[in-house]
Amino acid sequence: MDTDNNDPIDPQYEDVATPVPPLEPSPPEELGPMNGLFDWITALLRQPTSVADNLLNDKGPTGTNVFMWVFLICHAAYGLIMGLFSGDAQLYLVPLKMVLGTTVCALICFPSLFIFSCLSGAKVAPGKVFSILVGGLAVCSLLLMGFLPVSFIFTFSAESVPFMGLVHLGVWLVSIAFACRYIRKSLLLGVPQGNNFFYIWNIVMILTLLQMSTTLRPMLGPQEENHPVVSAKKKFFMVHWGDALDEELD
Amino acid sequence: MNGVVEDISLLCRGEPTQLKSWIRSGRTQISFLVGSIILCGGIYGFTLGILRSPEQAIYAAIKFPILIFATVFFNALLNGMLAMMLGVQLRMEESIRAVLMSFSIACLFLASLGPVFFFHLWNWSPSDQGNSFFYWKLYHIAMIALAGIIGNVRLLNLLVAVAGHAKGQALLFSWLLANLFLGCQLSWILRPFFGNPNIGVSFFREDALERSFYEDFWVTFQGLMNQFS
Repeated sequence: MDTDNNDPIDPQYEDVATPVPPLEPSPPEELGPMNGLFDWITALLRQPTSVADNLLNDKGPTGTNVFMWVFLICHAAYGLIMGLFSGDAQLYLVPLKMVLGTTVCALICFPSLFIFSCLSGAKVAPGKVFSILVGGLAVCSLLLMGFLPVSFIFTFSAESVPFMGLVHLGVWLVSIAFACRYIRKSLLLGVPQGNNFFYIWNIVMILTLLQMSTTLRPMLGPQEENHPVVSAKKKFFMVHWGDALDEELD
Repeated sequence: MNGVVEDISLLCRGEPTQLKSWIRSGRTQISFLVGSIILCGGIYGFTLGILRSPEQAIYAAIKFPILIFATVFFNALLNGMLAMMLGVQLRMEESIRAVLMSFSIACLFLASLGPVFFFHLWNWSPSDQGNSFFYWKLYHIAMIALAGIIGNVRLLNLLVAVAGHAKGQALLFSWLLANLFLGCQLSWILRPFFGNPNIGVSFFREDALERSFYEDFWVTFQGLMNQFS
């Protein structure tokens, strides 16, 4: 077949022949005026990158205080539903444990989040990293609220503690996965070549939170009289889950 | 961001354009690198020894930075010569600064996870102390390896910017081998860090200079093989 290099490119192949410049990520949309709690919640769910952009680039209000309250109230509300499973003292103990446990975990993991964000190439001050962490916890809390009706139905129909634990674990894992995604994407905003260091931090955070749920046990079973609010016996969370399953099968 | 936090951020981001000046001149940065290794290495050393006893933790907090500085010091000549032989334009003191930077990043990484290590340790069952020691040791060996990889990945960016891709990679690989080879032996001499629960707490072992890390590794390996055969 004869070919002539001077032939014009057939229009149907033109798109293929012309090198396409790599697409630059479009800058996040501007956040409009934020009036109150619901505007912030909507923004966090619909435009998370815009919320993070506002915070990281000092473009406007950051909403950290609002997110802090969202985290506290929603975690306490989800804790209340968990506490309903056993009732009595657990009604106020579980919400308290949920809020305190998650707060302590966030504080424990904060120094490593700052170092991991730097290792990932993000140029962010520690205070802003903390605000992003609070935003992530707010995302987790909002998703927990989304799952609240589901958990509520199971709370009144299920009887087995390990099964209920599995339901809450599933709900929590989905919520924390989105929180980790928010934190990762926000801190990598504007970093051209982000790496995978944040995934290591996500694993650290999730393992620490899972261990905290065992440290603060009982979170689901009844709080027996004359027993300490937090079990004094130390256990690895996997061992605790195994023991709970064994008890159920016996 | 204030000075120290800005330095930590810059070092961990590994921005070659700015870090080149740290290698070339930075006298103030040297004190930052040394300070971060002493402080962060000390914090991490403390977490290593705390499972055995607070006394062992204090010993390990002192010895961990010593281990790093000894590795850098005893390998300084070799690392500088390797840079020259591989055609990388780094003087002796510049190669020392570069190696210190990588160790500093590793120490910052390990120390930042300190609260997490403490929390997980606090949840270990005291009745399981014997097994805990084995897993604690394994867990931290993995963590130290990860920290070493992260520190070197960051150093690689800088060496590539200074010397080009091929030379930078070759230099990093040769430094890594030299530091690993000596570092393992020095950690053997400076042992115990974790503190075996069956042996008393001490700063140095009485037989510190007997045998080597590699001989012991070989004996352990043979023992394992005999168990399987």
